[in-house]
Amino acid sequence: MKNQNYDYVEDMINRYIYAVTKHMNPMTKKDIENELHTLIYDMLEAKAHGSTPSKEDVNAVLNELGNPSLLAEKYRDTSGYLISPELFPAYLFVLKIVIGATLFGMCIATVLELVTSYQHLWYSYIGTFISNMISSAGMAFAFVTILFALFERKGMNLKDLVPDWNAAELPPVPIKEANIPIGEPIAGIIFTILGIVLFTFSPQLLGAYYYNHGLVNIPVFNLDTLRVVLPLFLIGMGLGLLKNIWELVDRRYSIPYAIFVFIINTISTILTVIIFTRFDIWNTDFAAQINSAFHLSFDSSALSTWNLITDNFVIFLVVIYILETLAIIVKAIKYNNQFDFMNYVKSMERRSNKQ
Amino acid sequence: MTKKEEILSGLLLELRRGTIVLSVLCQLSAPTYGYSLVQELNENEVMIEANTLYPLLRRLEKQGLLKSEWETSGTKPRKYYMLTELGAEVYQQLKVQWNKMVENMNHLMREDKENEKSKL
Repeated sequence: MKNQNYDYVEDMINRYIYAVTKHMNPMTKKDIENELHTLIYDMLEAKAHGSTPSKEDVNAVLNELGNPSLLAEKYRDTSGYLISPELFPAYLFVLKIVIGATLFGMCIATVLELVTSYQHLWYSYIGTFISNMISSAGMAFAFVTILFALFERKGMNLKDLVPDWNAAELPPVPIKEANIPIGEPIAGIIFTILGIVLFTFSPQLLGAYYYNHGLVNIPVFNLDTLRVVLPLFLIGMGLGLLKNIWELVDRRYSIPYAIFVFIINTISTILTVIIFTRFDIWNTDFAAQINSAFHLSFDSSALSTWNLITDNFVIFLVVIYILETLAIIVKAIKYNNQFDFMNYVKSMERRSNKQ
Repeated sequence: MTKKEEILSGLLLELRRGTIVLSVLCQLSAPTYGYSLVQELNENEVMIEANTLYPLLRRLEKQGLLKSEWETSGTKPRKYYMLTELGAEVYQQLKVQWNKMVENMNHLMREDKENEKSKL
């Protein structure tokens, strides 16, 4: 009987300790287990006044220690947030826009797909449409959440880049031109996601359209090559999204923003050059297909125009990247009175000296 | 519990919360294990529960104010905590601040009484 009682006591204690420490870091787990084990026996001894502890005694002691998950919470020293309350409003804001833009993009892609295909009846699309909507919204959710969880882990506080506050460092009331217009990142996100959706799911839709017993399209890209370079495209577009998200969170033309844009646009430019010069990305038959579609006699001028456009398209893109980067750097320097970079560096130095 | 008692106990809890670290530090100039510290404090009518004290000891150790050592020669293995050099320095300064605070508060509350008298 006595033995049975002992088994019960030991079993209950083990259950309690297991419940407290099950999610703990293995580094400290064993130590806390041992410490709690001794503590509970000390408390039992006090409760039973030296005699063998009864079932009631062990239950009373464990109840006194309270809910194991609350005790585990007290032992936890990190906040335990995936995204902390400080970052949450920004997270929610970005999440709504990205998911909204994704769904919007999916709708447009589906409508285009419906209009251009006649082998399917429209209602056979409903299932695909719904599952595409759900999976793409899920992907958008995961993308934004992982991004903000990284901000959280890295202790990046986007709202407050200056750690030591000083009245002298108070930024002036922003002039309207010094802020990035909110429409830019929102439009950027919508078009980027539309691009991602189109390039991933229905690249054949990017092309010329004409009417011949229904809408017919001639793809502008070489679809086989496009499938190969899709990952590069997606990286480039993902970088574009990062830039738009930064703009949504901190809408100032600041030096860190300009540096960020410079890095991202440099990578994007390199990717663009690789995509357009190392791969035969264009549909080489495009001009010929246009000619035959419109029953034109063979005309080399269409072909040469097509070649002229495709050969120089990469230059056009690179020039756009460079102009955008330069414009942002100029604005960042011009409006930098809002964000004193040297002051920021100094305050970071002060902070690290303190530690 | 009436509303008044409820407010009072809430405020008291807040007051006590601020003194917990000080009451722990002042008892740890010699190595002590967690449960005996609980008993010691409770005997002096400083009420603290084991489920608050144990995580706190660990936090203070992580901050470098306490150090600990397992003592396995007794009947049960016990973890003993005591002040580090840093902990002792911090405790001394905290104590000075505490005494000053008590003095100031007493002074403030005396004045308060006199003010009321003069109003009457």
